[in-house]
Amino acid sequence: MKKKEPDQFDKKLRNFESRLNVSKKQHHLHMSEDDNELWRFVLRAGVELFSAFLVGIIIGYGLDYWLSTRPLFMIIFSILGMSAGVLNVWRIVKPSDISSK
Amino acid sequence: MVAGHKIDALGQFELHPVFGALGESIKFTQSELMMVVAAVIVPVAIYFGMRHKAIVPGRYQAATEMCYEFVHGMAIGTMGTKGKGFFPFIFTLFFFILTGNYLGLLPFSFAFTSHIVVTATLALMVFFLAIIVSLKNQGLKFFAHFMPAGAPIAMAPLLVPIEILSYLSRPISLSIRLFANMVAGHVMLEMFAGFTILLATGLGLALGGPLGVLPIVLNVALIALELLVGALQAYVFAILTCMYLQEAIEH
Repeated sequence: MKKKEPDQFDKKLRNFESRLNVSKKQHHLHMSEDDNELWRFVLRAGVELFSAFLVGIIIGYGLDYWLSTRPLFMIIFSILGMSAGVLNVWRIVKPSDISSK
Repeated sequence: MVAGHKIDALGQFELHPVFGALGESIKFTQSELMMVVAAVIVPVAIYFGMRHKAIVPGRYQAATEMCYEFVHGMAIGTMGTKGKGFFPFIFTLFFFILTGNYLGLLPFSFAFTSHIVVTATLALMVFFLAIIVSLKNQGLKFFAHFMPAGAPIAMAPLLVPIEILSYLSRPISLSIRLFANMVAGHVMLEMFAGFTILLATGLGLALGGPLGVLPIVLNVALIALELLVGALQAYVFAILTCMYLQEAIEH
């Protein structure tokens, strides 16, 4: 008797979970509208681009401040930062079958 | 917060000391107070949720278990079983940010995630943790990742700085994303709330009063949006942390 109880409980649980997952999946399909996805993607890509550029500017400014060569390193590192931003965005949009690592 | 006929949308982010003179002397502001509240709410909620330890959980316990399993599934699903040790960290991070985002939506409250100093601290914590973990796991081979495999050596002077900058931009993008989302949401809420008062004072109560209901309706919708954004940003922060740690563990 003692052994039987958890078995039945497990079965019930599995039954419930399978039913729950169906409704969950339907809900999820409903939620992920294309518009929302695009909006989120644009925001994320923008932040990635901007943050890499910002890092480049900060490093360039720091090096210039240290070596007093303004604006040499700021120009170099802002270009590098933009490239790094593009690389970041590429990492997001990269198709999964290309493995450049 | 509407001074005359202007909307002061950023005034809500000012820090004020709380607890009188004592708070003044140790610079204890409402932001820190909210952090303490968030840090207390989560363990207390979990403690009371799991107090009965019932096999068939009640509603409260089921909600607690679902929260746990959601973060557990996310952390293990991204990091693999090797990352199991980082699960408590991810869990804490997720619920600290989530509680912070949601606390900010209550009246007379303050969203501490709307200050970049807070989000940047969290992001830098993640960043340095990822560096330490990768140095421990991979040793000096970690630095080899900054040179993409298969690229000619002659390109190294160009590629390596770009890779390093890309790596360094991680904590910045992580912190800016959370901070910008929270600030934008709260500014929008303040703007629309301000429109109501502007309409009522500018057009008179007879005309502006009924018109002023419209921004309030919009604000209700915005609160719903903010609930979504708050959960989403906490989720994004946690999942990106998982991805960075996974990279640190795997390679």
